[in-house]
Parts: sequence; structure tokens; C-alpha cells
Amino acid sequence: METEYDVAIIGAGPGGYVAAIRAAQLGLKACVIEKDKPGGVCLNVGCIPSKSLIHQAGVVAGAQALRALGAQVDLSGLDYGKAYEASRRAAERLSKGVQFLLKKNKVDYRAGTARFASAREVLIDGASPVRAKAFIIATGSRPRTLAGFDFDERTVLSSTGVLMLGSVPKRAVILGAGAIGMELGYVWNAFGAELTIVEALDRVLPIEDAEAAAVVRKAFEARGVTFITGALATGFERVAGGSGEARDSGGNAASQQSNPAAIRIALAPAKPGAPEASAVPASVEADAVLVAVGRVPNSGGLGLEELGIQLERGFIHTGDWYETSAVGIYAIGDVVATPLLAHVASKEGEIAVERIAHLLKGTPLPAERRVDLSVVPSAVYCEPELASFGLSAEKAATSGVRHAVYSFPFRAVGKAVAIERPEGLAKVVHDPVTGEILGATIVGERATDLIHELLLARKAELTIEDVADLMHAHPTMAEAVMEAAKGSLGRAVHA
Amino acid sequence: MAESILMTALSPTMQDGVIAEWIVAEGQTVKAGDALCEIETDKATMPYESPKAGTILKIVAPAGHRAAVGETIAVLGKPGEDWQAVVDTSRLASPTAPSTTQSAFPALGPSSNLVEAPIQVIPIQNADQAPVRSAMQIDQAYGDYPALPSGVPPSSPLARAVARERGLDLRGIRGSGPGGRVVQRDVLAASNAATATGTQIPQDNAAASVTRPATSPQQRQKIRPARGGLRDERAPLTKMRSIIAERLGASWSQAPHFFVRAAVDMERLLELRATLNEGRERPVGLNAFVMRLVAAALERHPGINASWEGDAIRYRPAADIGLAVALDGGLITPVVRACERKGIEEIDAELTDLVSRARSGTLSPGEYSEASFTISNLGSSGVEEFTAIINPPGSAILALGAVSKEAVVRGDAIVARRTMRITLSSDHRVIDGAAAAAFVAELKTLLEEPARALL
Repeated sequence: METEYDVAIIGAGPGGYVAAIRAAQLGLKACVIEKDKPGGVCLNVGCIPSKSLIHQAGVVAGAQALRALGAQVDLSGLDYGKAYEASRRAAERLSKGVQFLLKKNKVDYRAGTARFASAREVLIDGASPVRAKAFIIATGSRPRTLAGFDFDERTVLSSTGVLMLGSVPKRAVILGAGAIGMELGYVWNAFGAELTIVEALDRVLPIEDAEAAAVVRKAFEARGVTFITGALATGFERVAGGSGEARDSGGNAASQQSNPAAIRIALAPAKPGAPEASAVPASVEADAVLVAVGRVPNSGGLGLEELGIQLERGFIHTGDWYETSAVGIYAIGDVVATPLLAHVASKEGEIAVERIAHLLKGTPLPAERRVDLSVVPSAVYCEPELASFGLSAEKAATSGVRHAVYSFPFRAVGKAVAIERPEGLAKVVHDPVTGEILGATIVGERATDLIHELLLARKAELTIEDVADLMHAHPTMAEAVMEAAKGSLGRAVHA
Repeated sequence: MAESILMTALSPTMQDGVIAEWIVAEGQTVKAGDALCEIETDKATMPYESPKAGTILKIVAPAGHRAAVGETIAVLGKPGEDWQAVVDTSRLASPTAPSTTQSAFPALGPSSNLVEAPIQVIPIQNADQAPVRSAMQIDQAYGDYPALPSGVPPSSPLARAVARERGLDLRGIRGSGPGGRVVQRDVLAASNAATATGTQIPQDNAAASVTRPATSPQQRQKIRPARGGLRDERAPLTKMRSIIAERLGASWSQAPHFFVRAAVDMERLLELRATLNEGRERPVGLNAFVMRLVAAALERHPGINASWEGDAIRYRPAADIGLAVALDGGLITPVVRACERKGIEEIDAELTDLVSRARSGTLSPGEYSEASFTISNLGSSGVEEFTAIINPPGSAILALGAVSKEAVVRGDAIVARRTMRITLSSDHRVIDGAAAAAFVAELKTLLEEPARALL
């Protein structure tokens, strides 16, 4: 096995493997070191299997539409295990695809755990040395734990645990109403779980536009999901079938109970004095709880401290082209304090590799030194979907940026009514003087696809008028985008 | 065939010059080196010597006309040749008055020898209506034009909207977007630069009122003396100007410069070049030869090909050599990558393309950044020798003077030899005196005996 490379990449997730393939394309001799499976969290226990499950959940939800047409639909025998198996097949197929792509591009794939021995050498599993002129750390992130809720992946689940679980709990609680909680909540609810979602802030999808997030919440509630907002989970106790021994607030079991049991989760208002605090119940019972309160970077165990690489709250600090404070060592993806999204990791990987190739081979520098965060799309794939980028209406209001907001409802879009998906809206934030598109949020049918028209417009510096003046095919959902742009200029036709 | 005589930068900072007086007349035959006209710059009045022998077919820029660097001022050729075939007549128009001659010569594009230095604006019809190259012109915001006037760079809709809002003229702004497109950040940078200089002396209201952007070109012509180079004007910084100020200011104040000079006997290299160029349609330029030999010297002295990085010195794996190119309102240093791996022809071809695109403003940032070494050649302006400021992240820059005959002693005889004076500016944080001297000695040897580069 080779030991000398132009670039060695630690982690084969969507940041690492894309960087490795780009490196090979640029003529660099590259290897990628992975301690788990090729494809990382995204392919194995993230984006891909969850999208498979969400798709299966949509198929189940379609039974309602058939019933509305008078069909007798019998869902008996519906087996979540089959949906789970389909999600694993998708993940495995794509993981193998990554392996194939790496091989095709002549990137060496090295299984094992890397640790820096020096700024120019890592050891795999403490033994095999790999030397390279440059390194890219793409080690990603893992689910954040919550005090009092250590993951056992049987009763207290992480998102990884949920995606590797072949069944759906009968009574389920999800702590955290962010993208992960809402997506997996949609799946559990569709497959019959009695679901309660607990959120510390006062609304669901707290980083997204409030009006749009409310559309999602309303749709979930119509399907029987209970939301408890403004509430903190402080710990839990086992209530039936188990030993009944309570855990302390640090989450340390007084004695390990092997038999999973129902639990009672203690809740407390996030703002005790606030008027809505009285609406928070003292506890909620469940067979399993998903803790979805964010992710933490995998920056430990790499030997970064010895190299003097600076960290900020566990994230690796990087400058232009994602180079760390150690010359020749780069870091990209979730381990860096930029949005924890697969597409951001891939783009960052390309930038870092193109910089390295420029230094080693004289190829052109990448057009951007860092990803422009104002054109990073975020997408939530539950039903209804939600997608956004740039400034939300709230952020624009608090930042004092000159702006105007216009929101166009889907119920005024012919196609949305025709296909019975009138819940949703397209909202655009723009500069009324220059017409600059500052941000947008779309919620509803195909929101995650529709967002890209406005995203491209922003990236290419088209103004809101260019979008408004573009002819859109009728009838399409995309007309919502055109009407939102027209409305921003005070000339929406169907409002 | 006939070719254009372009206004050249007679000083490093020169953006434009006024034709003080034509010494020759149309129809007159001149030799190379004959003074054609007197040119007033912001610094001095200098004679403009003809680069070639020929007949003056047409004086395009009359006396008193202010011509930007790169603008055609006259056409030289053989008697009876059609000067209009050289000048892109479709551009014989000021931006505000579409030319009626445009349709008369619809098939005439720029001829091949104009590629290196495209004509920008040739206002022969009415010198008073010459476009003012100010970055600030409220009354001529881009959006008022029905079509792209010459000199207006491609731009995004948002860039145009922001420029309109801020009263900026896009013609003064260099684009950094795809294909050299002016994008929002370019307009904002130009706007910020203008604001920063505008607020420094707020009490200077009298001066401000004279130089308010709304002042028409005609008004300015009136307050300017008919011939003198002096003028009462406060010109807001263009984006390029502020970048030059910032980068070279930082280089000069942070990098401890020292200078090593040598006089180089150019006879053999010029002979070699003449031999190689025999029968070639497009002669290989001297800069390509120098660049290749500099790369050879860098390979032998890799310590010169390095960057200061605060806590480390980065030795660069390739000789990425930049060449300072004077532009209207500034300069830019396109970079030929990995010169040590390229032949002179390849370097020359790349250089021709880069310089041409530098002048048309269509370089991408990757093509003018991260030079590991830079060459600045003011020889064409007749400068004997000069010192240059280091272009970061490189640690050294080579200043080339003019090649001129000097009396030198060979054996016991005094002979005339074509000589070029070179000056290396080095960053003492990276390069010590002995290392700089060794490099310059190596380079001198290679330039004097180019065959040694083959060793």
C-alpha cells in the first residue's frame, strides 16, 4: 500500500469523498481514510435513508387520498420493517457507489482511524503511516447529547439510532423540533406512532421563517401530532416493566436496566415566569424518545492540539480556502463552524482541494475563497416541505437591513388547488431600492425544488424584477415564485 | 501594414496624457526613435518617440486631446494605406452620440495587430465630447443607455441597480464576476472607496463643489488650462486604485525592501531572439525570454521563490511569474504558472493572451493572483533603471530598464553593447542580501549567456 500522497483526506462523507474525487480530477494523488462506511453520515445514517423513509411515509399517506376517492384501502399488514429495509438498501447501494467512484478515480481508500503524528503524517489505527503534502480533515459530526438523556439507542435514541431501528415506537417523544426532529417525526407519525414533539423555543423549526414554520406545525397537528413548545426535558424515569429506578439529572443510571421500559420524561418551562409556561405539562410518557437537539463536531482524537490547530467550541477554526492554523492542513464540512449540511461540505471540499492543486500543480484557484453563506439553501423534507436561503423576514427586521417582505399563498396558485396541496406559501425578502433578492422561504408542495429558482437569481445577481418578468409555465407550482416576485413589486395578479 | 500608435504609460502611475503638440504632420515619414509628439502627463511633458519607421497616415488624437493609456493617437504605415482599416471605425463615437459611421464599415472588426492593445475610445469627431474617465458620473448612470456603449463592462442586473442608486458609472469599475462581469461587490467596493475619500476632508467644501460628480466634462475643460498638466481636481478612487494603494502600501511598509542591481549585456540574448524570430509571423517578445530565464534562475535559487506567511516561509513548488501590465487607471499582474516547465513559445503565447485580456478586463482572479515572483518592465518607456515594490505573496520583484547601447570595456577596447539594467527588490524577512546577490548574478549570467539555461 502506498504511503506518500499529494493529499490525504480524513473522512469519506459528502465532504471527504467529493474532495477526493475532485483531487483526482486535478491530477493529485489522493487517499481517503474512513473509520466507518464510505459516504459518511449523509449516505449511511442521515440524508439518504431518511429520504427513503420519508418517501415510504408519503406512500402510506397516499392511502388517505385513495380513501377520499371511495376506495377501500386496507393498511393491515403495513410493516415499518419493510420501509426500513428499503432505506438500508438505498444507503448501501449509494455507499457502494461511492466506493466505486473512488476506485474509478484511482483514489486509495484506507479503512481505519487516523491520527496526526506530525503536520505531514497520520497514522492509521496507530500503525500504518500515511504521508501527504496536504491534509483535509472531513471528520463530520455526531448527534449532540442532552443532559439526562444518554443515548442507549433502545429507549433513548439519536437520529442514527432511529435510522437503524427496524420498528416504530408506539408512543414516541422527540426532543427538538428542528429539521431532524420534524423529518423523523413525520415518518414515525405516518407509520402510526402516537407522537409528541417537545421544543425548548416557542415554535417549531426555530431557525426558519415563523409564518412558514407555522404552516408545517398546523399540518402536523392535523395529523394528530402534539407539540409542547417552550419546554425543557430535564430527565426521565422508567415507569412500567422496568426497575422504576430514576436517573439523576446527569443521566447516569443508578443501575443499568436491560429490559427497555416505558419512560416518563420530566418537563419544565423554558421561561418559568412567562404566561405560556403554565401550558407546559409536568411530564410526558413514551416508549422511546429521540433526542434531536443538534450535532457536535468530531474534532477529538485526531491529535490536533499537538499541531496547534485552533478550535472554537469544538469546531476547527479555518481561514481562506478552509486552511487551518497549521499550514497545509485544511478542514471542511461539519467539523467546521459553517452550516452542517452535506452540500456545504462538498463545496468546501472542492474549494480546499482546488487551492491545494493550485499550490502543487499550478491549476487555477477556485473562484471563491469560502462558500458564500447567503446562497446556501436549507431544506426540510417532511410533509409539507420547507426550504429557504439568505435573510428571513425576522432576521432582516432585526438586522436593520433595508428590505421589504412579500408572501404569496399557495391557495392562490391554480396548480396547488388542482392537486389539493393549497397549504403553503412563497415568501421573498428583497431590497425595494435595488431589487436585490435578500432571502426567500418556501413551504408546501415541492418547496425544496422551487427554492432553486430564487437561489440562482440571487447567485447570478438577477433582481426581483427579472424573476417577476420571467414567463412561468401554467399551471405549475413555480408560478408561486413568480407571483411572490410580482407581489414584491406591488403587482401580483392572483393575490 | 498600417498600425496604431497607442498612448503608452510614460510613468508607472500614468493613466492618461494630453497631446501637447504634434511634432510631425500627417503624410510625414518618420524613423524609429523620432519624436512624434509631446505628451503631458500628471508629472511632466515628454517626447513620444516613434516605435517604428513609417509614414504618419492619420493623427487620431489632435493636440489638446486627453488620451487614456492604450488609446490610439495616430496610425503609422506605408503611404497610401487605408488607416481606417486599422482603426475600429465602429468605435469612432463618444458614448453619448452613436456614430453615423458605424453602418458605413459594418464588416470591419479589429485587425489582428490590435489584439494586444484594444482601442478603447477614439473621439476624433469632437474632442470636447471626449468621454471623461471618471468613476463618478451621476448624470450618466448605466441604466440610461439603450445599448452597451463602448467601454461599459458586462454587469449583473443587481450591479447596475446598485450603481444607479449610488450614482456610480460602471465604466470606472473592474468586474470580478464570471467572465469579468461587474457584480454587486465591485460596485460596493468602488462606492466605499469613493465614500472613504469623500469623508476624509469634509471641511473642504469649496474643492468638493468643484469636483462634484455632476460637473460636466465641458465645465471641467473650461477650468483646465489649455496646455498645462496641472488641474484642480479631486478624483475619487477607483476600485483598482484603492487595491493598489492597499496592497502596495502594505508591501512597502511591512516588507523590509532592499535592492540589488546589475547591468546586463543583452547582445547574445537579442541575437538569439532575432534568430528565433526570423520568418515568424508573430515575433516572440523579450518578456517571454526573460521570464523563462528568470524561471531557470529561480530553479537554481528556490529560496527566492517563496512567500512570507508570518510564522513560516512557504517555498513555492512552481515558478508562477507575474508581469506588471499598465492599464487605464492602474496596473495588474497576470501570472504565467509554472514557467520552469514551459518553453519560451508557450510562455509567449500565454503572456500574449493574458496581457490582451488584462487590457480588456477579462482576467479571472486566479489569473492575476498568487504570483511567486514578479517582473516589471518599464524599458519601453525609455527608463534606464528603477526599483519596484514587491508584489505579495511573492518576496521579490525584478525591475527591467530599457535596453540601450552603452560604452563598455571588452578586453582593452571600449565597445558599444546593448545593455539592460536590472534591479531586484527583495523582502529581507525571506531573502538575505547574499541570496539576492547570488540570484541576480545567476540571472545576469543566464541573460548574457542564454545557452547556459540548457545546462
